[in-house]
Amino acid sequence: MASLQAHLRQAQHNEKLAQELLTSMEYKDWIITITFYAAIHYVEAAFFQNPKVVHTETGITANYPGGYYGYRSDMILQYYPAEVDMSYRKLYQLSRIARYLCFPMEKKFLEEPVQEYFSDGDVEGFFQKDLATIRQSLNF
Amino acid sequence: MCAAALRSNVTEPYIPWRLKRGDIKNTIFKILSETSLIVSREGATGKEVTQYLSVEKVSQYSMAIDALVRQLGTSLEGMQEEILSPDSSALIKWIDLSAKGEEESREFPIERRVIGVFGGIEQVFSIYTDEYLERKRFLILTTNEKYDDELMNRLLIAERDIRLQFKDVPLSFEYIPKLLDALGQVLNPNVRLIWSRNLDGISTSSFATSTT
Repeated sequence: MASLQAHLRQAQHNEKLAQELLTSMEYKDWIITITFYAAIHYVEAAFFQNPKVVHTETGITANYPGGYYGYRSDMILQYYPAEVDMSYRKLYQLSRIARYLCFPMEKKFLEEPVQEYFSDGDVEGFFQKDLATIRQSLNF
Repeated sequence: MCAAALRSNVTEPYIPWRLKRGDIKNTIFKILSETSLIVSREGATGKEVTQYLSVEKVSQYSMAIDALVRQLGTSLEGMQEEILSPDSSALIKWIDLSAKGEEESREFPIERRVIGVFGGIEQVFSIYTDEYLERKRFLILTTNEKYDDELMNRLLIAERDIRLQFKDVPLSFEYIPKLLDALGQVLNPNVRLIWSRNLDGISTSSFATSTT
């Protein structure tokens, strides 16, 4: 199990890379993915600070519905502000598209790359608004 | 590599399946899915109903409708938020609801709520559901071809409201925009269609039985 500081440093590390990639917008898929991974580490760091929530790796029980993502999503819904929940779920949804170019159950997707599905403004918003919302609301 | 799972013919009328739970339901289903089309077509030409339906059929349908309306009034009392008017989709929904066994009753209010909330978002075209990793999952298909942040925010707010309302049930939601030439249809046999908006804007819905 990673420590609070390890999660924070990894979150900042990912955020910094996303910031650098934003300057060219050449890798929108990776910006979205890295932004989501930064959000995960901020959330996991917040779990450390909340006595009601156990770290995902140690708190999750066998066959927890939805696995790690399900557990994390449930904890955020139950214990954190609505804006964190909203932004986290948005990044989760979009990073799946960015990573797999495919939607669950549909098994068929994007004949065009992610770069054309998301506008530059969309991607910038995920980073500038949604990730920032998560970080600030969790007091990091 | 992803396999094709889409049906491109979206103009074919959506017909709720598995409605085989008694004569009255079959009769009403015929009225809704077949007769109404005839009535609307023939009615536009000014013909009387008995010119294209036999007297026996008219009598049979009338009795079935009377019986259904009486029961519908009682059944819909607690569902006014989800079903605002007793139109054809409400009738079909009621037929399935009334015929479902107790073993699936836990899912009814969730699916009704999902249909009620997401069906009110105009860009939502159809809603499917399945079980995935021990979670009841909803697949929300939308009409946008490019990412739409305003729509996504509306969807996420709706999802949050529903998950908070049904805290004790593990739920998950996935949002799928318009893909390729197909609109709002999935052929994956493991998912179940519970609501669809036809191209003319009329909605239909169906709750399937436990075979899925």
